[in-house]
Amino acid sequence: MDKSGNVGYNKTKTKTGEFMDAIRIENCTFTYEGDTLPAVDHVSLTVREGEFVAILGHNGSGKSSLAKLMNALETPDEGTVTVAGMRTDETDKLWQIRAEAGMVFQNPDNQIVAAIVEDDVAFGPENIGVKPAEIRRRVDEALAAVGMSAYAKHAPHTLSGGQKQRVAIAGILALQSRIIILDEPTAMLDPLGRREVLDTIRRLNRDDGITIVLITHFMEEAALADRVFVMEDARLVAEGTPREVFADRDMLRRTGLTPPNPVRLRNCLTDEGLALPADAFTDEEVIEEICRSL
Amino acid sequence: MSIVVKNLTHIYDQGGPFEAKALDGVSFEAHEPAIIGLMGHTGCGKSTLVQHLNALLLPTAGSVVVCGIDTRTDKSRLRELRHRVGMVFQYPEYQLFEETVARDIAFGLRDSGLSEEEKKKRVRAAMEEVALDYDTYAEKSPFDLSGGQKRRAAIAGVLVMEPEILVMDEPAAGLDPRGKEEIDDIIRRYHEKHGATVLIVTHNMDEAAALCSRILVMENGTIAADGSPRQVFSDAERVKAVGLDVPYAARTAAALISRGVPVRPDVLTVEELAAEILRIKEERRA
Repeated sequence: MDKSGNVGYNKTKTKTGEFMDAIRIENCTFTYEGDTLPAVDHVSLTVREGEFVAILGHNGSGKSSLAKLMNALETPDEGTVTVAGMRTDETDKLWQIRAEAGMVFQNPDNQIVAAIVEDDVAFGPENIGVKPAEIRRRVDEALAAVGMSAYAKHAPHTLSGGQKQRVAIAGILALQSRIIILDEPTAMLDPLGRREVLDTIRRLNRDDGITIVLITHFMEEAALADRVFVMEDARLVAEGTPREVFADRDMLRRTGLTPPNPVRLRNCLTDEGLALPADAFTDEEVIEEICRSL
Repeated sequence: MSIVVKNLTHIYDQGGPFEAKALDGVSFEAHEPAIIGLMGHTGCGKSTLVQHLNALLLPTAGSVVVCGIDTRTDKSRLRELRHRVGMVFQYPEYQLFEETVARDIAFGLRDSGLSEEEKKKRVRAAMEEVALDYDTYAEKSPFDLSGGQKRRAAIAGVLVMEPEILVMDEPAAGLDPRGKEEIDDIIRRYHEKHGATVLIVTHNMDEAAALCSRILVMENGTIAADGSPRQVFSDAERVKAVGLDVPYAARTAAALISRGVPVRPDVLTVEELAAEILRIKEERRA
C-alpha cells in the first residue's frame, strides 16, 4: 500500500507488464477443526486477472470453503493459495490480501455495519487510514459504480435486499479491491434484486476489469461466466466454459446439477430423436436450432 | 377447510406518521384442497395477506373467514385457528431452539393434551413427512443438521400440528437445487395425504408452474391475476407488467410462435414444450 492508501493495481502485473493470475490455488487440502473429512480435497485452480468465474456444487460440496481460502479467512493444511501474487499463509499480508479480494456473503443483513449507506461504504477505507478527502472520492465513485448514488444518505434498513448487496459491493470497491468473491449473493433476493446484483457484477467485470468469483446455485447465473468450476464432495470435478461444462451430461447427472433451461430443452429433444447440435447453449441459439431442424 | 377473503383492506399505522395501505380490497376464495402459488414482487402485499390467514394481522376493513372462523368476530376461536392454519415463515430454521430435533418438533404439541406416546407418534410421522429418519435424527441437536435438514426439521414442527391449511413463505429460498426439490416433494406429499390446502409464496416461476394448480398474482395490494398457471402465464404481457418473469417454457414458446413454429402458447415446463416441438416435427414429416 502506498502513502495515499492505494492498494496498488500494479501488484497483479509482472515486471514486464503482463497480467498475473488473480487467484492461484495449488493442490489445496483443508479440513475444519474437529472434522475428519476434508472440506477441500486436493483442489487446484486458477482465476485469471479480469476473469468472471462461477463455482457450482451442492451445499456441503466445499465451494464456500474454497471461497474462504481465497481471501485468507482460512488457510490450507496442504498446498498454497496465492492472491494477487501474495500467499495467504504469510500472515503479514493478511490485510493486504483482504483489501485485494473482497467478499460478499449470502445474507444482505449480516454485512452492513453503519446507520447510513455512505458511512457503511466508508467503513473499510476509514479502517485502513485513508485520508478523508480520498475517502469521500472513493465512496462517491463506489456508489456510482453500483448505481446507488441516490441512496447515499439513506438508512440501510430501508433498502431492498438487492440494494443492500450492491452497497456491500460498493464497500469492497471503496477499498479498491480488484477481486470480488461473492458467496451466493442472490440466494435471498427476489428476481428483481437478483437481476440488479447480476447486472452490477457483470458491469464491474466488463467495464472495470474487476475479477469476479461467483459462488451460486443458479445455473442461469453460472451460464454468464467466462469459466465454471464444479465442486463435489470437496473435490473439483469439472472446469471449463459454461458451454463445455453444461454439455457434460454424465458429470451433471453424477453431481445432481440441472443444466440451464435451454440446455435442458436441447437434451429433452435430443433424447426424443430430434438431435440438436451439442453446442447450442443460449436461449437464442436453441430457438434457432429448433427452427432449423423442423 | 376453506378460505374466504372479502374486500380485505389493511392499513399499517393508520392515522400515524407511517400510514401505509398494504392491502386494498383483496377478495379470493379457496374451498377445494389445492396448492396455490402467491406471487408478486417485494412489497406487493403478499406477506401482509398471508398474516391475515391465521389472524396475526386483523383486517382494517373487509373480512377474513378461514375454516369457518371469522378473524374479526370469533375472537375466542383464534387459538383454534392458529392450530388449523400452519405458518412456515421465511428461513424457519432460524427459529429452531430446542436441544434435540424431536423436542423442537414437539414444541407445538406441549399444550395439546396428547399423551407422551401420542406425541412421539406425531413427531415420528412429521419427520417422515419431511424425509428425516426418526432413528437417525430425533435425538440429534438441530444445530448439527445441514442447512436443508434444518429447514425440513423446522417445517416438521409445523406439520406436527397437522394443519388443514399450510402457508409457506418462500419455503425453498436459499437452498440448493436438491434442497428445493425436497421441499417441493414435502409440499406435494402433505397436500395429497392430508387433503390440505397449501399456499406458497414464491418468486420462482418455474417452480410455481410445476407445483401449483392455481396462481394468485398480487400488485400494489390488490389481486392482479387469479387462475391456473396456464391461464396466468400465457398472458405474458400482463405477467411482465406486474414485474414478474414468465416461465422459461412459456417465454420460449412465444419466441417459437413468432418464428412461425405453431406450438401451444400455454406450455409450462420444458418437457411440455419439447413434446409440442416433436408433435410439430411429426406433422411436418407427414
